[in-house]
Amino acid sequence: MKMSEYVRQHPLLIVIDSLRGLPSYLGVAIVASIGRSGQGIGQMGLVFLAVFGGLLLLNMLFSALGWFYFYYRYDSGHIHIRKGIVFKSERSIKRERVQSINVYTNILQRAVGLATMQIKTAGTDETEVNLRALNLAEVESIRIHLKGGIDRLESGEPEENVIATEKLEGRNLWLAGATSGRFLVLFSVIAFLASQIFAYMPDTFLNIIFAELVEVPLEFLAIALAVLLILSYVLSIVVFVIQYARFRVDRYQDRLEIRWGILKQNHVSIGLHRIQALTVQEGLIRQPLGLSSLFMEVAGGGSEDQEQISMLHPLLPFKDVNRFLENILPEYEIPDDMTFLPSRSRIRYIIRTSIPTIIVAAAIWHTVNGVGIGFGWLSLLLLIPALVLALSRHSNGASSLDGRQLTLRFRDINRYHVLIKRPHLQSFTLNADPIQRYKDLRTVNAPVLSSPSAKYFQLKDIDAAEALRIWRWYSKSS
Amino acid sequence: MEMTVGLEELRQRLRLENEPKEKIDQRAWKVWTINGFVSFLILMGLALAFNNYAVGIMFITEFHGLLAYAIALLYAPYGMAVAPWLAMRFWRFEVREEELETQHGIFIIRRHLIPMIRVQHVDTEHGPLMRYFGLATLYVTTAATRFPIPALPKERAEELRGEISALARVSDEDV
Repeated sequence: MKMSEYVRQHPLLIVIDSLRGLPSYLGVAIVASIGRSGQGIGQMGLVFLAVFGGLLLLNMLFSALGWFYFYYRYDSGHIHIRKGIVFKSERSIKRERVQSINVYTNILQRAVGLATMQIKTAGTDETEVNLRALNLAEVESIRIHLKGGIDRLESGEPEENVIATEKLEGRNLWLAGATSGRFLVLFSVIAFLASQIFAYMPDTFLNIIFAELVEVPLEFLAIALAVLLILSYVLSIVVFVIQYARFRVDRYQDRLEIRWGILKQNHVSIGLHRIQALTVQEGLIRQPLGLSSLFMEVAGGGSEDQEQISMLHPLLPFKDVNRFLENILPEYEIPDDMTFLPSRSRIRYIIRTSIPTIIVAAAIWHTVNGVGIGFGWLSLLLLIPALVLALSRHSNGASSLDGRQLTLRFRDINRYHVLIKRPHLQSFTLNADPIQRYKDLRTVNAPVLSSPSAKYFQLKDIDAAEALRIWRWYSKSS
Repeated sequence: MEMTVGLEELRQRLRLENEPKEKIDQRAWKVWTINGFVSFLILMGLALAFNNYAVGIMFITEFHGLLAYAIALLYAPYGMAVAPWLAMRFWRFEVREEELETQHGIFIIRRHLIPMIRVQHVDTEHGPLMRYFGLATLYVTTAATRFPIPALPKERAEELRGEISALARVSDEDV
């Protein structure tokens, strides 16, 4: 078997690393030069250049040293890393221990034909290798070596085949962006930034603005606000589309490969054995349109990029979910019929949502009346949406057992179907307070592994008989 | 007669069906009562400090001071009698070849089912009070959660630790 030598990464890593700190150096340099603003513009420029250049040089030096003292080597069974200037460290990772290999490229790397390769093993972040400047041929070569593809090539077996492929394209991609609900976040970010800008403006300037504002008709302000809303909405769609463009899932025999993005390209591969549960999420905006998105609970791997790794599909019509799963993960299925919550648990759902609402409403009422505006009782109107939510939570709560799969359906604001295979359930818990015991109701709690920590899926107030059925299904002794 | 039947039925309903077999050591009762007494002393101390230093500042009146004492006094029967009694009554566990079952709670009863193949490790711990009574707490840990079984006689805890970790080694299904 051919052994490769220890090599360094691509030298452009020095440039990439140096450029990464650039924005913060600009910031530091600007602050430093403002400190000298008393001494004229020339002095300011000089300080700026000195600080900025100095920091950049230092960073380049460290990047260069980091690059120079970082070696890697791989053969068909292992990847080895050797690094450190003063404290040397070596690490070898066996092929069998590799949980996932992810490849990312941002614009900067694309321009020079490089990529980041992330090799993850089970356990902590410590056991993770990041190679941040590899050319694409090298990435492919390491991937084949670590995936055992080289053995197959040598023994003359055919290249492994993609079993199934699913994509998100065209109209659906835009629809996904339009229903992502992210514009609210973006809007609040913009509003926050605007408020920060006001805080930094000189008072006199603010006074002028407010004097002007009083002159401006109210309609104009309303229109400006609407335009801002629409703008952030459009912007959020565009951002979403750029982020998830060319989304594609490939199913191989033993793993999923998921690719997405234009500016930052992502390529994530997830061994099937790491998938612990599936969540079908129907967002508040998406559910009326019959749309949903799919997430996975993935065991192992670091805490970063959590959300990206768990995305299985950004947008899928709910009625297509089973067709998609049959293609990509045939072991999972949304069951046709489920056992709903008994009607005697409805009152508990109503009480559970109305008590906090009443407290909030009473607080608002009290405050509003204290200020002397009146109409405080209007805050009780909050009870109407709370009641609707409670009823919806109750009528959507359901469970189902299907051979090896437990399915829980519940709503917080969005509606979720959680699909768990029996071997992935770490344990199972029934809770019952005295009233639940008296009324033969139970709360079930199903913990599964996820990254960075475990997740607990809960369904409240299910029929005791149904809870016992799940308990018996999970128990080996009965 | 009617009345007692009704009570018995109510008692049955307030119990979870198929309780695990084994109970924890009766001495747990004493440990919890002492713990409750210590908590009560701390609460009294806090109430005393509240009355000495906080009453009179801003809107805090003597009524609030009395309220603090009342809370501490009301806690005493709960922490020293009711809670230990209910906890003792509901604490159960059962070790079977394939799985471990525990049940505990004061008002909310929780029942856990832990398959042996999901157990990652088992350890025992004992605080000063537990040690004085010759008791230990056994912790059974899965990848997701840590489950305690408190107040076992020390020898029983050691025995269970060996038993469970031997059973936990058998693993046929992958994670």
